[in-house]
Amino acid sequence: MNRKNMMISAAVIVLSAFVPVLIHRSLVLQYLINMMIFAYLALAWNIIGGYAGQLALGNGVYLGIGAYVAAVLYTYEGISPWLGMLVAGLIAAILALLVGGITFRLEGSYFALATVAMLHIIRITFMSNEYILGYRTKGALSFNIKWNGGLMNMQFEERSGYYWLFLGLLVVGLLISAGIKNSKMGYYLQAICTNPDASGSLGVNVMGMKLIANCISAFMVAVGGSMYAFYLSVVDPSSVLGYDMSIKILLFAIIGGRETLLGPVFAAFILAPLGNILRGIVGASVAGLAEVIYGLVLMAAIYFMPKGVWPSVAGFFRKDARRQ
Amino acid sequence: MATDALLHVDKVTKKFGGLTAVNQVSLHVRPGEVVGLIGANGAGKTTLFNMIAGAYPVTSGKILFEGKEIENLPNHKLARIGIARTYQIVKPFSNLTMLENTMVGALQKHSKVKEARKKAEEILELVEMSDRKDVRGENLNLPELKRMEVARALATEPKLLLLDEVMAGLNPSDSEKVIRLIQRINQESGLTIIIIEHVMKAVMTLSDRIYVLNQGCLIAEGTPEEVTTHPEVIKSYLGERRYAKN
Repeated sequence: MNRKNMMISAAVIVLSAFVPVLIHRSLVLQYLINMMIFAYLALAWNIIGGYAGQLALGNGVYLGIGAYVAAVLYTYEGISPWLGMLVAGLIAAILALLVGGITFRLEGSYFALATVAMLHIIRITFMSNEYILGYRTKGALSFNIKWNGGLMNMQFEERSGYYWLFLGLLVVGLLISAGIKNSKMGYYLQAICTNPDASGSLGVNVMGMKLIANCISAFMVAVGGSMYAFYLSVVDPSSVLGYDMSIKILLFAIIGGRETLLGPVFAAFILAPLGNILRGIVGASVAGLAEVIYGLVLMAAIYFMPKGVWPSVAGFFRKDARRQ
Repeated sequence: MATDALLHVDKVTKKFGGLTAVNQVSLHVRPGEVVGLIGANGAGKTTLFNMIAGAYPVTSGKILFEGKEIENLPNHKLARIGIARTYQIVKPFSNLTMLENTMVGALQKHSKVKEARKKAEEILELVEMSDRKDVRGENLNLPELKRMEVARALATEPKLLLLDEVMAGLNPSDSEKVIRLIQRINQESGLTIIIIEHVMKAVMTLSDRIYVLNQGCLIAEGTPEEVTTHPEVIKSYLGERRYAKN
């Protein structure tokens, strides 16, 4: 990244920090927060799913783990979610190491299926057990996080508090993702993505690299999950451990552009509100129509821009700049 | 057995189920040498390469590199101790540019991206591909990809380079360029090279010594002149006596 891009990014971040000062409508902030959460999660998934090219279909499981661990630690042990989310991240990373150690030996779609199986196992475990490791998580029912406002408890009176929280999270996510992409690890992951054999013969420890990427990605997703839980102040298996959550995250990354840094963010910013808006406009009149339109938009995006929306958008602007 | 050998392959056998692809093959390569490996299709040349480069485990026998046994090491460890290879069927990182492809090799010795980029640029200069360095792998043609294979392998700064049919599919003028490139690499940096090649002229020009494989067995060894006049070789590989010049 050159100096000019860095200045622009910094300016965008500083400007976006002022948004809640100017806009007080809580619905708008809610949309923005939603966009930032999914942008962050898509960025995190992109490390293993995009850069390393491992189609991890079920990695939303780490979101659920993050949500539950932080909520349980806060509720039963009185541990601040700021600490809880790090514990959750570690647990997710260890699970990612174990699961990766087994499933990375599988090729292609078998790996993808194994991650779905993992999600299924964990979801069923949470749904059908009242207690997990001695903590009451209420099975399939909603597990509410007791409200006790304050920065230490990651609970805010105003939406703007959450806005800043998730803006900070997104910035950290971007920094980590950019750092990885432009480092030795980033090149190695992109090499593994297209040709693991050739990578190995050039000195890349393919298995080790995939495992590290999986752990970093899982840690990040879990931290996002912890924050998401405190934002919603409620956790239940069908939402945080649902298939649609896993799919949503990876769709944003794939549609935005798996090989790119900003693609997942861009797609989340466009598509996350699109779903809500469509539901708002046509959802009431014809049931299911919003989902159909949403699906068609996704299909069109994949069909016309198989490498993702971001490379096309960036290419357009670059061409535009050259013309001037 | 040569004690000063960089690479020493000792009675190596590879079986795939009932098929013996490589049978009790022994060979050695001294530092700075260019050694050719020839034989008809299916003679076991690439299988032998794959064992030296760690892509396959050996069924029996030993492979020594700088006196250490390496036959059970994974390929990335072999790359680190100085064995680099190219693939007969090119394996580019199609999503990366030629420069980035080469950098993946260079990053092994230069962890800093900046230094790796500098090294990769030097290597591309050497293989005369600097003008194509920003083209992505998916947009390069075969001669360019073949050179990129060599560039990537060289970027790891190896002690031993295994070239698997780098001239296959190239026209005579491109082959000529590659021959000159290999000669220059060998002479300037003293790099030890083993080449598998079907283009006879290339092997004969480049190699100090040649090993001939037939159906997994070593049938002859010697200088290009010795090998081409060897009756066994003429019979099994070259077929007709009239082809055995050059």
